[in-house]
Amino acid sequence: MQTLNQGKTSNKKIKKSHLLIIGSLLVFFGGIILFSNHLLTIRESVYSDMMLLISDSMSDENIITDIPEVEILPNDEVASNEENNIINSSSQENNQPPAVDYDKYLGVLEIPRISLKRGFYGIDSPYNDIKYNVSVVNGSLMPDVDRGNLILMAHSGDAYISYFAYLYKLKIGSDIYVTYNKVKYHYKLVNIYDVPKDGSVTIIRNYDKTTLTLITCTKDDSTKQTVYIAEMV
Amino acid sequence: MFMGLLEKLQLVFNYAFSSFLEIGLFILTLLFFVLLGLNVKYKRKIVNYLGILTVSIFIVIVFLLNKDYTIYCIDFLLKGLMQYFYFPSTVIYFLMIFLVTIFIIVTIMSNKLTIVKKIVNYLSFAILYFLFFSFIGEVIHSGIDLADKVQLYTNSLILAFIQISNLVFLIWVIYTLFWHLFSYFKKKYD
Repeated sequence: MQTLNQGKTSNKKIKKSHLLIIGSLLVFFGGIILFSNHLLTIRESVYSDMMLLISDSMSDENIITDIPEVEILPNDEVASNEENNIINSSSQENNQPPAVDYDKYLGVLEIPRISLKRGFYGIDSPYNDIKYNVSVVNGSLMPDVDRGNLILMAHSGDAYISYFAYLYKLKIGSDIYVTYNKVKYHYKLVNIYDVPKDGSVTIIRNYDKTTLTLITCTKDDSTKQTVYIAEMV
Repeated sequence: MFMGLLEKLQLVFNYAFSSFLEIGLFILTLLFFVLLGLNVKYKRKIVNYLGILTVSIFIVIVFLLNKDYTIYCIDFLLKGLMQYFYFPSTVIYFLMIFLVTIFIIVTIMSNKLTIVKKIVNYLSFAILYFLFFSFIGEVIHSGIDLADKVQLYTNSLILAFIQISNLVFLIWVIYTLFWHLFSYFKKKYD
């Protein structure tokens, strides 16, 4: 009888209210941990909007405009209107994170269909790195160059730096805008295709048009990259 | 577009009786109100539970039918909250300090709050006041325009003051919510 009573007394110490509050705390913090990646993505979006605001207010002296000329490699198999331009899509060698600073964006990429609005830096900027931002690929030409090709790349996936995560939702004819030098250029998506992820990307485009190329990893396929070609309207 | 109140009511009234579906919807809504209203007198739990279930199922169906837009709304709301947290306008920050002042007065005057709760409140509010007055000092010292977000948030010290203030306030809010929840559980189950 005594041991039974002792058991009952020890059970009473664990109050129902304590159990309920501990359960509530676990649910609350569990939810935050579960959605932490999504919350980080939204946080990045908030920071990006603020960066755009700051960038717009800065003077143009901060812009890095020194962009190297395009190097077109010879290719014997060239169609009459289209040529293949093989580029190296590897990221910069410098792995040191840049010091916190507000550098001015070179341009802004906007895709209304997926509510994407993201600035990008010049090629020589330390922030022009796929680890931090939508990055400009070497060999790109800005939208004001006739028949040029601006090439942008970013991660897809679940990480908060996956700025191109929703690119797969785009369809042929989707509108894309690039603001550069205070001019807003309008593009329309004309082609979407996959290439193997082997360190280089083949760009198939119409050389008579000014184009924009977006490159990211293919959704649900770690062996491929998806290339989106848009032509200026 | 610019209609008076009577005109708007007239439009809604005409719409409610414009087709069988709308009349059916109107009758269902009326029935819902009448059943719950009568149950206030008869106090049948089954009616209350069915009422809650009906409303919940209705909302879930609406959300599922518009799944993409629902997710967009949630993201929009979360983004708004995060904007208020990371880069609030000074209006929001001043409003927060005003609320903190009210909470201090309530804490001092209250006999219901426990000692632990009062100490946590005083500590949080003291930190918030320190950060706020430091913020004001830095604004005056740097000659920053309070209405200019860019000027404010390019100053890393001001950014630190505001974001830490918001963090302390958020932690205090979460603590207070769980404290009230614990008090409720204690009252009901212990």
